[in-house]
Amino acid sequence: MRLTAAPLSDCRPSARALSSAILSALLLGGCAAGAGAGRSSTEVAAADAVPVARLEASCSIRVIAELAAPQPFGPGAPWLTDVAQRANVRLAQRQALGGRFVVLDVSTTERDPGCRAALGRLRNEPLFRSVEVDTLRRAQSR
Amino acid sequence: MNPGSFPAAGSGRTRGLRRWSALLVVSCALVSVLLPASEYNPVRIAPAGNAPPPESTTPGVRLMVQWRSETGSAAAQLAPVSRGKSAIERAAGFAARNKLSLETSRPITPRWHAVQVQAASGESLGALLQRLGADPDVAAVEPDYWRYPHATPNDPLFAGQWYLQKGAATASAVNAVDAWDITQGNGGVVIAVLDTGVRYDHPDLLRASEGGRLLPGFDFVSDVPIANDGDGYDGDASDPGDWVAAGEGSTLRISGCSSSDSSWHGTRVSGMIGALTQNGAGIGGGTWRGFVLPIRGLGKCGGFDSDIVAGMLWAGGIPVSSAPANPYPARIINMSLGSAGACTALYRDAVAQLAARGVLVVASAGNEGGPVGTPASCPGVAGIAGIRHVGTKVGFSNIGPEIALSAPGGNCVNVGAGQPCLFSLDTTSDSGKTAPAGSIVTNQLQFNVGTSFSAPIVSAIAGLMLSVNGQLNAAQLLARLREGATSPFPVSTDAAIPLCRVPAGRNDLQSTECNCTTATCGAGMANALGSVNAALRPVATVTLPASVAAGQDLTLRAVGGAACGRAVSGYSWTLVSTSGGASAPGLGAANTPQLTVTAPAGAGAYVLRLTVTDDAAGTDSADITVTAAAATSPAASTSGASVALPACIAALSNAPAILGVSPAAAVVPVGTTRSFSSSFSAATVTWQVNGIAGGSATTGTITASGVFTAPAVVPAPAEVRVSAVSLADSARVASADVTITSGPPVSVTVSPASASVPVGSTQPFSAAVANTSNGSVVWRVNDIVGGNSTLGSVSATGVYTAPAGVPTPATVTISAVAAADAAQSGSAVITVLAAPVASAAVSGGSGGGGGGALDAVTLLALLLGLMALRRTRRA
Repeated sequence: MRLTAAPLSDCRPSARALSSAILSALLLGGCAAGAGAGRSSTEVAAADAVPVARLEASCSIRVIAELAAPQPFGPGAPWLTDVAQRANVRLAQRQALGGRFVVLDVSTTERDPGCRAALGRLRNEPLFRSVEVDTLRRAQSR
Repeated sequence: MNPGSFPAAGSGRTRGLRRWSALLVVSCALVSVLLPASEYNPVRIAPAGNAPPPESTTPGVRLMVQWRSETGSAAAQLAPVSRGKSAIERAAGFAARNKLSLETSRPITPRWHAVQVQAASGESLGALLQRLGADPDVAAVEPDYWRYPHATPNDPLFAGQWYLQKGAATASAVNAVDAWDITQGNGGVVIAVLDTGVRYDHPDLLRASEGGRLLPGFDFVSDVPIANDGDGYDGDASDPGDWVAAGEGSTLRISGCSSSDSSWHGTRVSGMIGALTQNGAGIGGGTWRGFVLPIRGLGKCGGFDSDIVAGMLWAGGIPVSSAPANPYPARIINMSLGSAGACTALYRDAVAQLAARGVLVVASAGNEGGPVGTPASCPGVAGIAGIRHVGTKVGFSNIGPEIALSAPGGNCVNVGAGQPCLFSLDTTSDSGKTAPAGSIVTNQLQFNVGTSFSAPIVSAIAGLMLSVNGQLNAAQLLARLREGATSPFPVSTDAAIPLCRVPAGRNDLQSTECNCTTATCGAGMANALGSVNAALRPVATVTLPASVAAGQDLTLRAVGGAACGRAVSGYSWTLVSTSGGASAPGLGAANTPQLTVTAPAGAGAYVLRLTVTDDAAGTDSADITVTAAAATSPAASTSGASVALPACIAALSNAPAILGVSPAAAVVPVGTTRSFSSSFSAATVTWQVNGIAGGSATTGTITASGVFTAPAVVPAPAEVRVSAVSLADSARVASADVTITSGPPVSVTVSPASASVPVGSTQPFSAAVANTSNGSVVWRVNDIVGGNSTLGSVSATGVYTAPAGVPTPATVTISAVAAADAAQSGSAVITVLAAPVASAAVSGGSGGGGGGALDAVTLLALLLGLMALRRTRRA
């Protein structure tokens, strides 16, 4: 599988047109589906049966969540569904990093500049010990 | 290598190196008896530890003895028998008293005497020195050490690598040249470079499978646009380039991602750690042996934690989903990357997991002039700050209490446009502004600076340290890196230069030079020699009881060991202190690896100290605190790596390729030459004759390109061994057996010289081998050993069986290759005929279809065969 979209590195506050929303949703799907050959990918949404075309994601971000209870292969779809519903976000698992950490793509339909509100809700989620933004690091030559 | 791709080296220096090399070739012959044949020593440098050549005192050992003075206060202790005696007489008496057989005796000064003695078989050198040191006539006795010329690479651009050398004007240079006298690395040590990937085609790096330093790695950049190689995870750690075109940054949706040329950052870092050294080209590496494991975690504009940490875990041999198991786990991971912010839980967890496997992470501090970024700030990580050539902080380097030590970061001094950057850190790179365009080495005009390049200097030092003492776990390795560092930091002669301060926050920047302190720049300036010497000390580790009760007898066991090639010579347990009313315990037999003591009966504690001593007088200590409830120690055996870490790291058992030499055997007449080749790239091996680099006048010489010249007279024995030794791993050796003869070269004659053989029929051939006692040959058809079904086959005894059909062309060549000299062979030409020759025609036959006459088809076939034979002979 290949990633077909740009990384969801930064929260993108948006009041975008429908086409932008469609693109964002497609990109998110692309990330979820293309997280690397053979990698597990689980995507769940807080709101059931929301057509992709109507999803107006106002923020998207990639996070690294530390699980309160380690799970060898990541948390799995039912577990993510519960969390997504409680936090009112859309979650897609990109990868499990060992048994304690999972890389998640997070998006919301609410207006949430910087995804601060979504991050706040996820950080209050008792199943997570910590939630940190998947930060960009750079080579340190000059 | 394309020499034109590299900046020109100083020709005067090159000539000097050549003269020096020529001297070495001569001296090699003289010292060869003192070197183990298996140890490749291209410039005759010292083996690990600078130990005296003999490991035991059998046979004779050379000693330097200092006699006690006959005057002054020490004279009272002088043995009466020695008063008024000559030095020679004193040496004889010394030998007799100590039951030594005196083989040579030579006064050096009135008080220092050189002797060579034969001691009792099996007595260790340490025990002998201890015994002789107690002699009443002896003030001191020590081994007459063998010393070697300093190891200086023959790489022409090494002269510009000031940071690996030592000099009064470059206080921060790490003095790798003296460390290389102890070790140049170990083929079993793997250093991962988690970066942008690497250029495998750089001739000063190359793949391990072709004799280079680079193992197959992995690409963990999961975002395709960032990866720039068309996919996410893959097994190719090549760097495709990380250029960002104008406007591309916004497409990538990464803030602050502006247009830039490709950095070749991973190739730069890799070269500083492991450029091919002693290959007569390019630069030298901080380590000469061992392997670099390239891992891509960065692409265009950088890389995300999720990919970087996946790469970290994989580098240390920890399974990562969607990536195959790492067959070459690293002991050191270099991470010349980061950004601002506190260490995250993910990094803390990864570093802890790696430490449990004995893996040290070395990370650069960052270039903002502010606080140390992540991952360099993470606990357990060796965070490396950058310093100028004179040892003051380089303006751009981040600093703070998280820094372990500092290393050169490169500083230009000249800042005008077009002016050379005087203290650039030269390394391997590529000239491409986008895609790779050609291998280069950076220089003062295409300069290389940043804390990114401070880290690999330290990673290389750590690699040298593990080469001499592989049992050091991550914490011990870091502690001894710091122990060996040069301190205090130099203070600028410019009074206007301030002291560096601990940054108060993210925006508290110190972007200009300042005088380092241990609170800002770590324990000191990286020092390769100091840290390798620190690594050579033994490791004191103690096994503690799981539980302790008041007044209970408990057993403490020393489990630490000595460095590779050394042995523990003693243990001692001493009482350091008591507190809180605890009674001092009885220590009983305090010079054994195991101690039984009684825990305090009530309140209070006592502290014991275990000291381990090795046979080179190196020591290490560990303190143990015992209370009525517990025994604890920072050196507890459970506090380090959870996996066994041997003192001597073995060569990779699964190295990507096996070295071979061709031909495998040869007979070479005196004074003539023969070319040998290895299965590796030409510049990745060195050639030896009988274990001597370049050979000698006695056994024959061999050039860097494998051209062997037999000696002028047949040596005794006449058989010599020509070997190719991998520069990256001296344990990888392939050899050819060469017989030197005084007569003509081996020759092979095959009979009959030609034959016509009908399809499916057989024809025996014989081979006569001249000028050697080894008459064996290997039969081939058209250079294929044993032939095949298309060309016909040949047995080990030379019986040729024609194929079932006529091959195209119909003639084949059968050859016999001399086993004594694979370069010598004889041959015969065979014409395969379409149908069997009628037996009646050969034998005078007895009836059958032909009736004693050749039929038309057979005649035609014979005619064609004869025509083909004539054509072949003309050719």
